[in-house]
Amino acid sequence: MRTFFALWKRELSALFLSPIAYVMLMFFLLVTGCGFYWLVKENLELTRAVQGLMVVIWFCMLIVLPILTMRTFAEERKSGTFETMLTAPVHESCVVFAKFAGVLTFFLMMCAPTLLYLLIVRYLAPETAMLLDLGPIVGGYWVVGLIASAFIALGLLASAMTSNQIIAAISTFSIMSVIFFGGLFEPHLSKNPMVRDVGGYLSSALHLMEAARGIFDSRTIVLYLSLTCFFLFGTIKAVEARR
Amino acid sequence: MIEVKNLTKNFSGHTAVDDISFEVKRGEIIGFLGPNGAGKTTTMRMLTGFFHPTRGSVKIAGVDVFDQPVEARRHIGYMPESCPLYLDMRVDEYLTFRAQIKGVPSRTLRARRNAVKEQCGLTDTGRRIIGQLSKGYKQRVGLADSLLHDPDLLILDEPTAGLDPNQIREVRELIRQLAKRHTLLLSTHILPEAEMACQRIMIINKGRLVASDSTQNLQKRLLGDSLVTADILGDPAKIGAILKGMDGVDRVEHATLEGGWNHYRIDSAAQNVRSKIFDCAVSKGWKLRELHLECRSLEDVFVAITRGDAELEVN
Repeated sequence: MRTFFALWKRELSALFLSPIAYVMLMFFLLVTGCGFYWLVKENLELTRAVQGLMVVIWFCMLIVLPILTMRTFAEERKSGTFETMLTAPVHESCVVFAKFAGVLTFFLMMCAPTLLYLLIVRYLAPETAMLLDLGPIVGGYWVVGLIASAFIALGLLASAMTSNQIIAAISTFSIMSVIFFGGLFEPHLSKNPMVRDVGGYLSSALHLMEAARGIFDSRTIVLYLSLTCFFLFGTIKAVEARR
Repeated sequence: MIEVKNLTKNFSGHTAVDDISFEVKRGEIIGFLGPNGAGKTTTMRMLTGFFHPTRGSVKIAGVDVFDQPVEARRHIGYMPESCPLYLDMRVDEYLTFRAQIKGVPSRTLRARRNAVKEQCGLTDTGRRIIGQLSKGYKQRVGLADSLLHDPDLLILDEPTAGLDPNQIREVRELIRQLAKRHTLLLSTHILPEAEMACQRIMIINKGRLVASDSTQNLQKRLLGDSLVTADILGDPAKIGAILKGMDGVDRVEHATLEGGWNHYRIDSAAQNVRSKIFDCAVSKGWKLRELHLECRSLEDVFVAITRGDAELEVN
């Protein structure tokens, strides 16, 4: 357990020590901030705006997660610290879980300021207080966390399979986009009801909108948790294989 | 301490390490020699469990490296070839982090960290960022890291590569200090280094172990010191006694060949043994059909062996 915390702390501090993380933080807060401002301004219905905010966060994940995860293993492979790490008395799975937890923590810290947006609305327009239910907000962030863990695990897998960070980032981005856009458009475009159904199940955007409306769907949880486990398992295997 | 059996590693078609077996006893200092690409690093990576072998087994302190990797690694301190470090961390931070993942207890962590820092001459550099240190200091940090959990066995892959002569001398001195308390396996392709520091030398070439002998034996056989072979016809007892009685002759080995010929291997510190043997043969009327000096430096031997011209028996 102590090993896990040491590795987790290292991962988190490595992120904070690199300029990319700050650029990502800035990008994320800028896009979500502008998005939310625009949503509130255009949509007077606040619950809709919260749903919209979740989708904006999802959109940012598409850029942010590949970049945050690309360095995890690829950089260590390139610099050779992969070797010192794995010749220390540590289990591969411990390294993988610690890196996963490190990036997830960073991402959640990144999301935390968006809660302020809701507080600001509440402060500026006290009459909307009754509109903002706690349930949908908690649900929305919960699903954001779930989606993030699945794709962070995917990013780790991509990073563990290459020593080139760009390749890791682009493969993560590609797979995420397929799921993102596939889920978003396919259900509406296809006439085949099967495709629409399956697309609907996989659509992260729909999951988020539903969660942010206060609907609790266990299928979503099962989907993302099993994806996370699957990708983490793959990552452990990739790390064990070395080359 | 190390037990290696039939270790083999294939990389998609080509064999990097080919059926190596050897043993290292506790407290030994082993020099692992070979040209670039001979399979030194691959072997070391298998010893530390970083690479899985295609065949064979490695036991460190009785623990199988591939069945119980974490347990085995507790016994090993390893410094890889280019000494990779987290360049964005401070020396103290890095050593603390490494001590934590190596399971050094929190109570003794600070004391242990300071002890290895002192051992490696890093006392004043705790606050420095590793990326800003010179190559020699980075090497020391790597060495300090490998010592943190006080391992029984230290495996150092080219610890002096890329250092300037002063730094090499410092690292060498450090290694000599370490050798007092740990079993040491260090790879190098710098021969004088191996000679100076190691008790036993293993030479690996094209993935095979081609020589393994104590440094004294290798030195005796290979350095300056001459080995003369002579084929003489006659009574072996008489000839043997005369040869042994010669000035500067340490040891005479005898073998009988067919046709009454005697084959002698004469170890001596003197340089002019051949002419003495010749003079003696003339005065006694012996028939002499071969008189040959085998005088080779470690470098010659290394070159010969690694080119495949010569084969030394593997112990």
